[in-house]
Amino acid sequence: MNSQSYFPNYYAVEDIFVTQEKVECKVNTKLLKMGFLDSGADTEDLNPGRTINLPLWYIKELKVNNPYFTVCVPEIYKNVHKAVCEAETTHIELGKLHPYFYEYGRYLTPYDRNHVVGKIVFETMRQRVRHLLDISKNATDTGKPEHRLDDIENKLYESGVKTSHLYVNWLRMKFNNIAASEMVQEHTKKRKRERRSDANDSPEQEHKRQTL
Amino acid sequence: MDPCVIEFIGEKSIIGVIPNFSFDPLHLISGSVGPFRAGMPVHVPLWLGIHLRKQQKCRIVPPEWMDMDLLEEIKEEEKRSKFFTKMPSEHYMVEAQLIMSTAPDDVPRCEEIRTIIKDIFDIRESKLRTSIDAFIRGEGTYAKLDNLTLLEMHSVRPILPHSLDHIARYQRTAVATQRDTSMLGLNSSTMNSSSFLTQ
Repeated sequence: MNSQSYFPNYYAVEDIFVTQEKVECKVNTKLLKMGFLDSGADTEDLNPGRTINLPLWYIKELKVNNPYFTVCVPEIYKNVHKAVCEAETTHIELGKLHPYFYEYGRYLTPYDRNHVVGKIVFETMRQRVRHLLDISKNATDTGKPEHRLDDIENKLYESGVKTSHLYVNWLRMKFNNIAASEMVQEHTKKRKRERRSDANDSPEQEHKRQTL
Repeated sequence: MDPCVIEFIGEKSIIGVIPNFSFDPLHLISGSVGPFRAGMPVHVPLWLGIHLRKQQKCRIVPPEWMDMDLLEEIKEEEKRSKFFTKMPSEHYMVEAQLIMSTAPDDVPRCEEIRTIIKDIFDIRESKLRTSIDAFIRGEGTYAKLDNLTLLEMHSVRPILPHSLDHIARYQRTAVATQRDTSMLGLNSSTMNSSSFLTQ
């Protein structure tokens, strides 16, 4: 898929990665026979008060105010909150905090009782996008961004760098030949593949090809 | 869209040439061109003009706006105005680039004009940058950018629309949670699917 609008959708591999992330949860009710979820537990049942890590894909299907688990909001979103207040989000190494900072935050937003996570994710993105536009425009040929970026930011950055490269090359009148659009190229490839599989199916055609 | 595609679109604009040969009219899909009389100015599409000029078969008449005084005026106007001013040609960068690289001798004060056109483009680009900045920072829901040319739009695509998409997504999530905490992150079937955890 080339277009990145509405990008991490349900079928995107990035979305699967994000939902694999573990979330810290506090157990509120005694859950029978669920002791295996907690590696440190010595009882068969899961007792209230224990903290366990559950994958996000499981948690997100539960009600926000479900009686079994309380989701603990990760520390990273609290640290960023401080920086957002000081308006210096461009200096945070988001990629180091969490490779899928925005998406992870988006999934956790409903579980935050204080309504900060949603706001933080939104404000961080808003402030960093401007920075992103700048650094992608001024990217050098070999240079990598000095800060590690979040996955979404990385994709945006790459598309920005590609655009500025194309423009610079056009100004220098290098590689100025129009290439077939990606859609057309994909279509030709597909047609070729189909033709090849057709040839494999019928031995006569195979034979013909060999004589050619 | 790549700059070469923008160039391709820009090549459709009409330009005057003075051929040094005579030939019957050319009938093309987009219309007829010619007839060509040696020494008589004739209007042709830019791509044809460039092609003929490369074979030394014509001289290019530079467009009217490729004039130092006029461009100087446009530059001042662009500096003064808060908005984008109307450019003399929809594809001024493409035309300037093509004409001045193939026929620098046909344009008087070519080097100066080249510089000033680049200046104008840079002014407009930085203006676009500041307005994007203001737009993202501000509370506005839409922005109106008149008189922007294709190549200028290209400089912020696709990164800007995609970023705005993401911003809007997170804004929606944030607003929706604030409005109703219990509405998000659940669907009607969750009660059933999670019931096996109860006693």
